[in-house]
Amino acid sequence: MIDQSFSLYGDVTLRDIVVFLATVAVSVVVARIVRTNIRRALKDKVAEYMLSLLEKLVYYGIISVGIVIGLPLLGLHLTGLLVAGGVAGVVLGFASQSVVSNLISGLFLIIERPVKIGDQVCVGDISGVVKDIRVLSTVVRTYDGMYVRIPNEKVFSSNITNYVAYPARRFEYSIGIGYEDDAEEAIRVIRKVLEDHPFVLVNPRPTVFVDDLGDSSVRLNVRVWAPSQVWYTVQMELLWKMKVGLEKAGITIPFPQRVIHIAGRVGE
Amino acid sequence: MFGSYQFGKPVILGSTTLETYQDEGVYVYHRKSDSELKKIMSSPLNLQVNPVEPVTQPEKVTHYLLINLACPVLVAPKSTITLFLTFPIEIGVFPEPEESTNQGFFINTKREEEPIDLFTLTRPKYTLYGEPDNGVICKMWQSGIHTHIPQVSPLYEGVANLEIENSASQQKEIRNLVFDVHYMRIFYREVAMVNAVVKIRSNGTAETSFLGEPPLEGMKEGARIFNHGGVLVMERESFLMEWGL
Repeated sequence: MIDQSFSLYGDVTLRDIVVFLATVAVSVVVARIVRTNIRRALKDKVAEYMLSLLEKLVYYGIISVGIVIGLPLLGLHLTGLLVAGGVAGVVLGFASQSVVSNLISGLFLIIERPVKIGDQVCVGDISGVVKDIRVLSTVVRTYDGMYVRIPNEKVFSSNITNYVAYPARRFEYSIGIGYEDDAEEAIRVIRKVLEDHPFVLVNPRPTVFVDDLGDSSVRLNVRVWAPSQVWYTVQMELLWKMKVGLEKAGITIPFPQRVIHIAGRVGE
Repeated sequence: MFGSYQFGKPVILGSTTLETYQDEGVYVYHRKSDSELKKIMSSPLNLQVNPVEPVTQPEKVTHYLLINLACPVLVAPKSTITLFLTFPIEIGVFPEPEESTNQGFFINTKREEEPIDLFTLTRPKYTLYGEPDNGVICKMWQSGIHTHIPQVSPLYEGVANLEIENSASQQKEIRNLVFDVHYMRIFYREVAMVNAVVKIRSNGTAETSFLGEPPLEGMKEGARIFNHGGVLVMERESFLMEWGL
């Protein structure tokens, strides 16, 4: 039988440590239950990035409360900790500069929110979908399905391109038609294809115009706005539909061609 | 048309037919149209067919509806007018709800059900209201303006009973109206209808919202896609049109 009144240090007994660990364990269990229920209740009602932030706040908040409640059992009182914490903070700061730097960057990322969970982004040379913004790092799933963990310090100091930060985005095509084809008819066909697609936005309106008289073709420029959420799908669908539409209207999309004049022999 | 249908009874909605039947020991839901859909059901469900918030097709990318008026409306200062507009119809097929379910302490009179099917017979089109950096994507619909309830094709169009109140001391012109359909309450009988209010402010903005009362007596409220289920959502129940009317 273990003597629970046996003093480990100061007034702290083995029993105190057991109660402290039990308090922390209970707070972890409670935090997990609350986090699971929050996710179930709000999954379809709150944006993913807000839900993730709320979950983390509640989860770590409950555990922190458990630890704070249990600390006096270990003889650690908050007033003492505040003084000791100041000194320890400086020491730890120097010792774990990069961890602290990532932590602070993470906090700024959460406050400034240049990216949110679910956004399609390019951070430095990594492109993909943001899956999680953690305290020390940001997790991105690249478009080819790779897991990439980027330290928050790097995210914060890199150029960030967020493809879906704004509600709509523009993309364009350059389509060549033959010199013998009617450019006005081609523009009319392309406009019809754009009009028929639900996600080609009415406003800002799409534009189609003759952009260049190229070596082998008359080049038409097509500029389209689509909702950021679906722009890539729209971009893929439209190109083929325009090609089919132009072919149906008898308009050719020529291959590169060169006209060669062969000079006759001298004396012929 | 809209309403409840027993398992096995076909539902003909224009060019689209909904069928439920038993096939080789399994229960099947089958939508026959240009784009076919077949689903296996674990039990023979009765169907409830009703109009839903018209922003789900072909894909849910927004919860805003922009109604473009075929003719601009001039609203005199400090005045109120009532007009009738049309809005696009999207059709939701739900399992017919039970009367009530008892969940411990709470009695839920209206079960939240996932739709079996969502589709539209209209041609959806989207637009941006505002600027590309701060606007909102909206489902777009062009409507005529009527002073009485117009004759509409119920599978394509519903009717919005719209009250426009201009509290400004200047005359205001309205060309577009944007609504947040999170809070759209659609009622139906033969035709789907909503009650909506537009409050024009002196600074050129307007607040749009839907009312929860049926426009006509005897109308039934349909199952909703955006059902908040009693959860506190920190959003306004109206939409502020701040990028032009």
